[in-house]
Amino acid sequence: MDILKINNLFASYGDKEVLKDLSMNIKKNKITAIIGPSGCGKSTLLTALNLMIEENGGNFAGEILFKDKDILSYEKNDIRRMIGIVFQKPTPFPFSIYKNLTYAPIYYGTKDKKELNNIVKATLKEAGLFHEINEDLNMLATKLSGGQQQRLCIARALTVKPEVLLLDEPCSALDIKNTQNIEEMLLKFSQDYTIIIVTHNLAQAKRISDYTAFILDGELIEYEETEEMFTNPKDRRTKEYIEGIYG
Amino acid sequence: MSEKTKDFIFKTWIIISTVIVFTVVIYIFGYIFKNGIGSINLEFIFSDPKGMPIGSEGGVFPAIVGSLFLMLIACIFASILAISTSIYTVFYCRSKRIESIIHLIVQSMAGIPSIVLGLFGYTLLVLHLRLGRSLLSGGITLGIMIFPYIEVRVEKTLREVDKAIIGSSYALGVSKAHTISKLILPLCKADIISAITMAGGFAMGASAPIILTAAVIFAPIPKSLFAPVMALPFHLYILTGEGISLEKAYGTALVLIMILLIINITSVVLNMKRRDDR
Ligand SMILES: Nc1ncnc2c1ncn2[C@@H]1O[C@H](COP(=O)(O)OP(=O)(O)OP(=O)(O)O)[C@@H](O)[C@H]1O
Ligand SMILES: [Mg+2]
Repeated sequence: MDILKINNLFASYGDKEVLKDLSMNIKKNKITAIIGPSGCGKSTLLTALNLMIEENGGNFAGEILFKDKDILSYEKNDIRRMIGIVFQKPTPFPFSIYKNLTYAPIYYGTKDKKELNNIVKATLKEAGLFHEINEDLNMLATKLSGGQQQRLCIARALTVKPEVLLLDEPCSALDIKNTQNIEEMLLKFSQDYTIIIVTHNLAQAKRISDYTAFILDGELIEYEETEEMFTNPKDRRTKEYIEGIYG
Repeated sequence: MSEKTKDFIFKTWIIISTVIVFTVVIYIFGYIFKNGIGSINLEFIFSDPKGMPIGSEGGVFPAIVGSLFLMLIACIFASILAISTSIYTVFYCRSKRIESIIHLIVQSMAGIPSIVLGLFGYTLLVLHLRLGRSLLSGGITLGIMIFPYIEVRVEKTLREVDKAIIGSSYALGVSKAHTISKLILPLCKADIISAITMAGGFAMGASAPIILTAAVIFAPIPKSLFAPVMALPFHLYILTGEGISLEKAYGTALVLIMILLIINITSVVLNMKRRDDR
């Protein structure tokens, strides 16, 4: 089943057109990787999907359907709750770990202390952080290591129970060990969430994704099952990119 | 001239100016301390003005309380306006033109001489709105005076909050209002309080705005917002200007300066705390 359907998407910042006539469908509970050279519009695509593009001064035309309904017909904040995003640079709130994870649930009306504690515990476990931080929930989140901060941001995105999780180069600033942690976690997640991950790391796309989309200059060049894409690319440009000519 | 000599001249100039500033400040403090300390004792601080003419035998307690009240009202009034204005300009205002108009107004307000503000407060608040010469009239007038200082600093602080962190809150589907009140303002709290205390000290030391709007030669500790008050700077002005007692005037000045020092140190400490937090 396709949870997201993108039809003829054009996106721009002011006069600068970034995405051109991009159409693709995203399969539910699969991991889709988006690859392409720097500046081709990968982040723009992700931010269009949860309307964060507006906050960055961009806008889009064309149609994005979430569960067969135009995303513009939902409340903007509902879309953002259902389609969570984690940015490249970890952005923990400069509060305690506990407060980072209760921030959104409290906004959505969870008041019960016990329920909040459960959410914190559950999401920390999902992100594989619970034991690492030795249950010190009052620790300032900005004191965590980069990799831990990034996993905290993933945990924070999970506190609002999203259906789709967008990840924009979540590992680019992390070492191998932390990258591995996150990849393992994402593989586990795909049972419960639909994941779209932008990555510069082709090996990573190969390791974890079910589908891969290659974007070049704002156009979708090829979109295939990952296996197929990496063994047998149809387009010459995909082949060149995979072989490292643009990379 | 070689770069080296230029560098030397520049350095010397900086050192000399710093030394001059320090000397002047310490001299002023020392001078007031030396002249004022003689008349200061618990009775001077904690009793009503005594003697004939009033104040000639000391007593500044109602003036201390009056000044603190005036400062409090000015801070409340100014900070509500200043925080709202800066939140509007930073987070809601979409038009660059409106933004620059707001900045222009704020800057012009900072440039209004305080005696003119006093005149304005007198005509509008005391006469037209019939608030009388009162704590409220004076507090509001002082509030107008310190508003631009608070606004400028709060706006700067709000702009300094990491955009990515604000974006992360929006990305969770959290509304702008909630993001501002539960994320941004708590992050800026120390700095905002520091700005308000600093401005409060400024308000407390000002006499021109309250001469026509609030301060009187003698009044008991005010029982309502509509009562006139005594204030330290005004008391000081009367003691000297009317030739009542120069000695008591220095005592009053010392009390005023001590309070301001405490307020300003608080403000600086809060500001340093903010640096540590980030
Ligand atoms: N907020 C913005 N305002 C104006 N132009 C922008 C903005 N964000 C991105 N762009 C432009 O849009 C184009 C695509 O940017 P985008 O960030 O989507 O690329 P990307 O594929 O994610 O690149 P990278 O791999 O470097 O992250 C770039 O040319 C960039 O300069
Ligand atoms: Mg990007």
